[in-house]
Amino acid sequence: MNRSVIPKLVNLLLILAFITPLLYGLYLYDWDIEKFIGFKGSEVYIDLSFNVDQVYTVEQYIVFTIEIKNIGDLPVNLTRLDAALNATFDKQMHFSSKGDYTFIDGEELAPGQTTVVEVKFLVKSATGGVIYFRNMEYVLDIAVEAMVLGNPVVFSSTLKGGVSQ
Amino acid sequence: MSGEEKEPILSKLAYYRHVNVLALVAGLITLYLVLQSGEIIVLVSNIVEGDTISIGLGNIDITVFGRSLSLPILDYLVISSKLSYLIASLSLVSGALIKDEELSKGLIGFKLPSMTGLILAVIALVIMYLGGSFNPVGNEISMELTLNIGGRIYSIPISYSIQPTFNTYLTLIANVAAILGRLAVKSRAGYMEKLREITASIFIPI
Repeated sequence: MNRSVIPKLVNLLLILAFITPLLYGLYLYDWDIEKFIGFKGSEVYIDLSFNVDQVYTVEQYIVFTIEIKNIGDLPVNLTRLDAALNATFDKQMHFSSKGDYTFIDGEELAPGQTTVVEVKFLVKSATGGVIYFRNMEYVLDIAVEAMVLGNPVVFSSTLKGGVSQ
Repeated sequence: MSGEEKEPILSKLAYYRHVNVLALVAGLITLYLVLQSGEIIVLVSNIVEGDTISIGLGNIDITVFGRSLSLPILDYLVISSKLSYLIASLSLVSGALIKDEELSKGLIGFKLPSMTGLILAVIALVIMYLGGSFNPVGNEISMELTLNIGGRIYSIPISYSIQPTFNTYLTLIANVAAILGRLAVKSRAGYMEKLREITASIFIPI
C-alpha cells in the first residue's frame, strides 16, 4: 500500500467519525434541525395563578384576600400588585375602585409556592359608615409587576365572582 | 551546497531519537481526555444561581432554570467528538512513533486542532441558533431567550461566565503541542531529505 494512502484513509475515517453520528441523529429526527437541537426558550413556562380567597368589609373598605401561586418553572420576584374592582350590589348599584399592594423589598415566589395578600378597595357609602353588601358580583382586574431573571415583567388576570352576605 | 546541514531548531526540540515527543504528548493527553471523559469547560449562569453547562468529551450536562435539560444534538455531538478525538489521538501517537517521516507527517497532520475547531464551531452554531452570542473579551456567552411569561412573549437576556477547568488547559496544551509537532515533523522531513541528497552525492556508485 502506498504510504500516502494511510494518512488519507485516517483523515477520511476522522471526518466520517465526526459527521456520521450527527447525520444519524438528524436522520432519527427526520432532518428537522429544530427538533434535533430540541430546546426553545418559549417552552419554559412562567406564570402566576390568582384566586380570591376571602372578601370582607372593614369600615369603608372592601378587602379582597388574593392568593397568588407560582405555577411556572422559574422563581418570580413580586414587587407590586395593582387591582381594579368593578362590582354590582343586588344587580343594581355599580361601583368601581382601585387598590394596590406593594411587596416591600420584593417577595420571591419559588415554583409551586403560594403567597396571600390583602388588597383594600375604598367604597364610599352614602352614610359614610360601615359598608354592608348583599349579592355582590365582581370583576377584578389584577396586574402584578415582578422580576423574572432580573427583568421586569407584568402578569395580569381577570377574576370574576360573587359574594352573598 | 553548504557541506553541513543544520537540523532545524523545532525538529531538535521536538524529537528524541526518531520519536516526535510533542506529537506523542498531544496524542497521549487527548487519549487521556477521551478516556477520562471529564468536563473540559464549565459555563456558570450569571443570572440563575446553580445553573451550569458543563461540556466534556464524555458528557454535556445542562442545568437551565434549575432543571436538567437534554438536547438531542449534544448527545450525538459527544459521540462525534469522542470518536474523532480517539482517532486523532491514535493517529498522533502512531505518527509520533513511526520512523518514516512522510508517513509520520501524514499521520500527525493538523487533525487535532482541526477537530477542536470543528467541535467549537458546531457548539457556536448551536449557541447562535438559540439566539446567543459569544463575547471572548468578557469571557462570557450571552443569550437572548424568548420566554413565554404569563401568556406574553418576552425576550430575556441571560449570560454565562466561562470557567476553565484543568482539562481546559490540557486541551490547549494538546492542541498547541499537536501544531508544533506537525511543524516539527515537516521541518525534519525537509532536513532528512536534504541529508539523504548529500549522502547520495557522497556515495556515488561506481
